[in-house]
Amino acid sequence: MSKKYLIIEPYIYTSVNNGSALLYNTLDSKYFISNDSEVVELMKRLQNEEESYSIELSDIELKNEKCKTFFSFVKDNFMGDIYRNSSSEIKPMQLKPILNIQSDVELNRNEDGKLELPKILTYQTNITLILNDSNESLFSKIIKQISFVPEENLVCENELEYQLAKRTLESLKDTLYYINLTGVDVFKYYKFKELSKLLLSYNVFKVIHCNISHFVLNKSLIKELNLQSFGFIISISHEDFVKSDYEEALFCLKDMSANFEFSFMVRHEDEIDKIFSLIVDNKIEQYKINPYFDGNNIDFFKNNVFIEEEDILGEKKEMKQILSNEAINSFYFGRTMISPDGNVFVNPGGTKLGNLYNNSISEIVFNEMDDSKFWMLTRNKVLPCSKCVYCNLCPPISNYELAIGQFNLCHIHKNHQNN
Amino acid sequence: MKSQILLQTDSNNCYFLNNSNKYLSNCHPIMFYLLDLINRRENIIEWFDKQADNDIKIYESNYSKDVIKYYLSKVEYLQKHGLIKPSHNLENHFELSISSEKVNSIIANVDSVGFEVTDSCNLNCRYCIYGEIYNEDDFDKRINKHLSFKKVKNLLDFLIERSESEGNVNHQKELLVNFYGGEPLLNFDLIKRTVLYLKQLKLNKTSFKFGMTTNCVLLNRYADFLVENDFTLLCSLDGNERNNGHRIFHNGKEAFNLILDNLKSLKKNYPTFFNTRVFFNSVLHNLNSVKDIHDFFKEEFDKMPAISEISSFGVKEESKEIFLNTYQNMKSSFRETEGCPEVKKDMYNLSFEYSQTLNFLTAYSPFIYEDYNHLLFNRDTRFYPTATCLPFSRKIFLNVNGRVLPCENVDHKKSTLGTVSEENVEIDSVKIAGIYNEFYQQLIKKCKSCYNIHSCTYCAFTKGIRSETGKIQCDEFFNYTNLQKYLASKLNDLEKQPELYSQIMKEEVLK
Repeated sequence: MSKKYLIIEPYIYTSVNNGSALLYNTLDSKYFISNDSEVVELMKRLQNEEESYSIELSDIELKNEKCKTFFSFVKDNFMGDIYRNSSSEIKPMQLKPILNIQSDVELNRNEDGKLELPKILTYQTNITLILNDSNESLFSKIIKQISFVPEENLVCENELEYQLAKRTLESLKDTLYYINLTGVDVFKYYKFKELSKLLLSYNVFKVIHCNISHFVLNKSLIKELNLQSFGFIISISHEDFVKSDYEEALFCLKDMSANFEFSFMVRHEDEIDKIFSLIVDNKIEQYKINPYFDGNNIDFFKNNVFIEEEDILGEKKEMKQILSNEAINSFYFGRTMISPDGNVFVNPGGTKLGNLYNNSISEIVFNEMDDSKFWMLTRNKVLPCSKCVYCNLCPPISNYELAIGQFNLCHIHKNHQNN
Repeated sequence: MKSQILLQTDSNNCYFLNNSNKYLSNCHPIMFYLLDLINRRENIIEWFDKQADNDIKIYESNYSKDVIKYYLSKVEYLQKHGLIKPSHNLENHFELSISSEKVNSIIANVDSVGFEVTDSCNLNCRYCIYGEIYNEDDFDKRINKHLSFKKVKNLLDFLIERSESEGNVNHQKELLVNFYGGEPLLNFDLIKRTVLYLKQLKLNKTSFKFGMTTNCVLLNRYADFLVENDFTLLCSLDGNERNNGHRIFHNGKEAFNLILDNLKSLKKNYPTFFNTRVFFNSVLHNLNSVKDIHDFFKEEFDKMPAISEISSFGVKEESKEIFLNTYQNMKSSFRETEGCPEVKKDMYNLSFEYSQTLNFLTAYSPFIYEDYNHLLFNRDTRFYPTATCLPFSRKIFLNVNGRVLPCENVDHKKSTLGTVSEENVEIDSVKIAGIYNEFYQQLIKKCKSCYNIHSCTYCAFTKGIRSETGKIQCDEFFNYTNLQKYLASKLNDLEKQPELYSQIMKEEVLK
């Protein structure tokens, strides 16, 4: 009697965790999720190393109603096939999705455990220079979570030494994709002109983060320095919105044909309406609204930022994206921030990776790859996410999780319905 | 060219590969049939509509129209999502130009340099590529010449200057300095001088480690130095005394006993060094077998060697009979160990079959990423024609006559990329880029119609790209049938050991 096999397609992502089983179709985002023990057992077998997405089905499984529902769903949605090949003696196999990164840090250690990874600086792709800061500034608190520059007219006590910045950038010239300039007021930076001129020769994405009032005050300087190849993220406080400033900034940006985006910060429910009114009234098209956790607004986050199952499963994800969530934190990987005192962070609210006055950038990058504090801070390493069936489908851990002090910024329930 | 490669394994399981995006999947025989129709440019809807009967015969089985309709929908679904395509032009997949900046970047990051310190040898191995059965025209004449320290120093200084520059994107790069021959220990003075020179340098970004390929005849004399400087040794030995019958002195006498004594002495005096730093390579020929090699090394040293075949490239016409009598095929010799579980267990990772499986997965698994950036960003997935390495991406090699080569295995005369003299180093990245770009322009004429784009192992420098008639040649060119057979044989192996797929993907650095 020939055998019947269940064979899952290679574009299907599977996850079994905590008594739940998930099949996710990376082509069309359809999914099947179940808590039924028979289905969960089947899924465990499919994931088994010896089975490679292809299992022989027993008569019991073929007759079980819950399994039959599962089989129908799989077949009807082209997630796999169930068939009997009477001329086949050996089970077919699939090259199921198992991630192999040739430069995986754990595969590239010598017998003493020392990391031997070539071209390590190529992983440093995104750098943010905090050009100036003040100890009492709001900016220094906000930058730990989001890119938003409040309007503050402060004396900048701390400034990043230009030669240090220049040296660091030159050593990364061949590896960077993004350079961000931010600070209390970047235009007040003592070497702003020199730095801008230096960066004009860098063929990478360059972004200036500033407050709208500072932008408007310095628009002549921006034009004089030919900064149209830079992108601008311009922060607007909805409480102090000045229409004329907005119109002036917009005109200047369009005149330069620069890439830009207006950035808003929101902490409470009532601010959302105010911001949207501003956006609609002024026909603001390119904008981003950034929630900010101020220590007292967890309810705001629960109501507006925490995600539901529909959010996780509703947005189509490619297999590459899901697999990358297993291995790296795509929010943090490759990023560093340099503060005015030379300290290097991934997240300014977190542990520093080193200081450029004492450590070379290559040493800092090497240590981060070796210790994997942030760049490889993935949900499969933390609780409760590692025990969740959506572990690798969720967006990567970001500054919010670290600011709030918990990793599960979600409302995940146990009752499932299939799409 | 046909986009879908359809194949069946020995167990009659059906698979298809989309050769442009490497989508490889098992499929139902009905789908297999439909894909075959597509390959033959038939309209599958029209074909279906023409079927009058309710039961349709496909490959000796009858299927209802409803069942076939399901698979028509599945084909449509996969077409919609780009996993099935009618045909494709592979030419767009090729990158045909390398810049001089890229060459400079490779040089600044090179992590291995090899020196042919002498072309003299104290053995006269019958299968040596510099021996009597091979064409002399493929390499410089062997005249017992030693490489000078000045040339070695010139090249090292050239590389160090670039390694200490911003172009080096490594953290504390360890440059492996390898010594070759002939027999390198015949020019020990140069080796010693080089090591001492490098050890006294105070550099920021570069450190050094040392290696050597040796026949071990002079091992005893220099063991202390090699151990003190933490050399990695690759020792050539083909098995027991009978197995080493081709490795003889110039007077025709056997060298095995002296070599074995030297190795045993090294093991006794420096057991930790022997365990961690000594490796072996055995050449397979008519006087040994994989099992012989296994049994000898297991008993004597409890280590397994790498095994290679005698080179089949460049054999003189008049020596073909000698070559054929001496040659033994690795695949067949491994197959003979089927009944020896211990050999299989100890040597599976070194076997031809295993290396073929690694090559197959490297080529056809869409889940293998070169590095983290490759995973994170949507990188250009084009590739260069053939498997010819980018210049100096594996190593930079200086032969005894001052030729700079991309490695020691290439034709020394035809593959020169630069020169080193007593006075200077001539490695011109613009010129080198030009050589490779010229190659690519020639190779694409053949490669654009080859089905083997993903699993090619052809090196244009080892085998050359032109036949005697001047045509572009490639003995790894695949037509549709060649690729079918190749894929089927690899999937046969994996069907029998499905756990091997997971094991390789989780544990192996494949390239």
